Amino acid sequence: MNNPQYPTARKAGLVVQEVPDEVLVYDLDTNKAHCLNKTAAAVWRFCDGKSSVPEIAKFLSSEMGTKVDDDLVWLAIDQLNDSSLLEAKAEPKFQGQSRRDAIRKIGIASMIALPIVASLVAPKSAMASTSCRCDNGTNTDCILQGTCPTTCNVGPNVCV
Amino acid sequence: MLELGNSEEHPFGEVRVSEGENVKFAFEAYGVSVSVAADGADLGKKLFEVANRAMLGKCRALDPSLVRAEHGFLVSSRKDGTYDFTSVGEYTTGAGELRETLELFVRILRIKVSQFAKNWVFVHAGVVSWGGKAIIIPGDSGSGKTTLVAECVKRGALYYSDEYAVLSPDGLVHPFARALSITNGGRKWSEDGIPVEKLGGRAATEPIEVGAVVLTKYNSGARWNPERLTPGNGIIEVIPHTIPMTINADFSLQVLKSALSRAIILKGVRGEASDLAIELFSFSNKELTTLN
Repeated sequence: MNNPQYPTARKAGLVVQEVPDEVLVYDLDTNKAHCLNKTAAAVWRFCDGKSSVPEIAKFLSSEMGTKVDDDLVWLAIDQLNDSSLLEAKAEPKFQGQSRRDAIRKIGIASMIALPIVASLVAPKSAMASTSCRCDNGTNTDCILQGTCPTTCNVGPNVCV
Repeated sequence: MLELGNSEEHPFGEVRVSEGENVKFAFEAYGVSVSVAADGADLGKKLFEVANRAMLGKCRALDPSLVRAEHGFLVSSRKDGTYDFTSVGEYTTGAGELRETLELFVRILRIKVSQFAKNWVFVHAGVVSWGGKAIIIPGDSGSGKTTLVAECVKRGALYYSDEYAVLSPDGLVHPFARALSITNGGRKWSEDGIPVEKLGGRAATEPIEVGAVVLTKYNSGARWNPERLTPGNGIIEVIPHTIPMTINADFSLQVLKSALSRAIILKGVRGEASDLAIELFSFSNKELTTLN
């Protein structure tokens, strides 16, 4: 998104799956999973690097069958930007209170669902969801994974 | 040469003693090849037995002289009666008692298989079924999923697993019905679990469609009043529990979509496991039996 008026959806390093009315995106670089609702997914799809925000609003209006304000598109773009789902970072149009105010304002006026990008981080390793074990030979360090506590704190050989 | 046979009880086939008392055997489980070397026939036999039990009979013998296994383990004994354990290419730990060493071996074997399984996706979750549909309860170790699964089983749910939801590409969940890992005297060992039959329950033998996913955490005194998530939001909540996600994201996401996009996904805090089991039983009767 070198020119924020012409946002480009990121494609590299992403795994994408569509489910009814939503799009799932898994970021291989950050191990983050994102769920784009229908509105956010549509905006993301229209971010082709050639269409301006007003043009995207127009495409969206046509697809949704109702007038869509530019600010609603900006709300989606800000979230896509926050989630690293656009080619390049740009200054957000709405931040903090300004975003909350925009959500309130657009939400009242909009006939379509506000764009939502929900995100969660996956653990880096399956080890992260397992218990730790202590090495009771020469020290008391937990050795199974990096996220284990540094000392054995449950029983003589098991740290959880 | 130590013969361990090639029966159902000993599916790895023969265990070879190559140099002195060194023993090596290899097997494949869920598409993952594993080799194990030990410095004694008895030790090799014990390792073989716990591996066999840990994989619930899903192992297939490989010829250790022919296979280049994806994962290797070395276990050796010390004169003082303790053992050294190596997960090849990762780490070594020493001076463990036999029981602890076997436990560590089993735990890491399960991790390797669940991470690298071919054509399967392992989700860290408890699984039961009621009314012909599975209920998946994702959760990390210590999250209380075994307790919840046990309570469901006591109330008539069919037992699938207290550790993994094993998903196939067609979206079905398959049994991984090990003995339930219920804490015993403050020390929890996966090999000392309680067979589901001792709880008055039955273990599933067939794969099944997923009817619901229950995302929950224990909160003392909480009342189960979950929100229902959209399929997409539900799936991303399951992703952190999806073991091969960081290794094979594309396939994992496809399988999660296939398994969960039609499931009811509930999220909320719970109180006692017994109370939630009653709620889930009622929910299953109302909602899951009518799912197409």
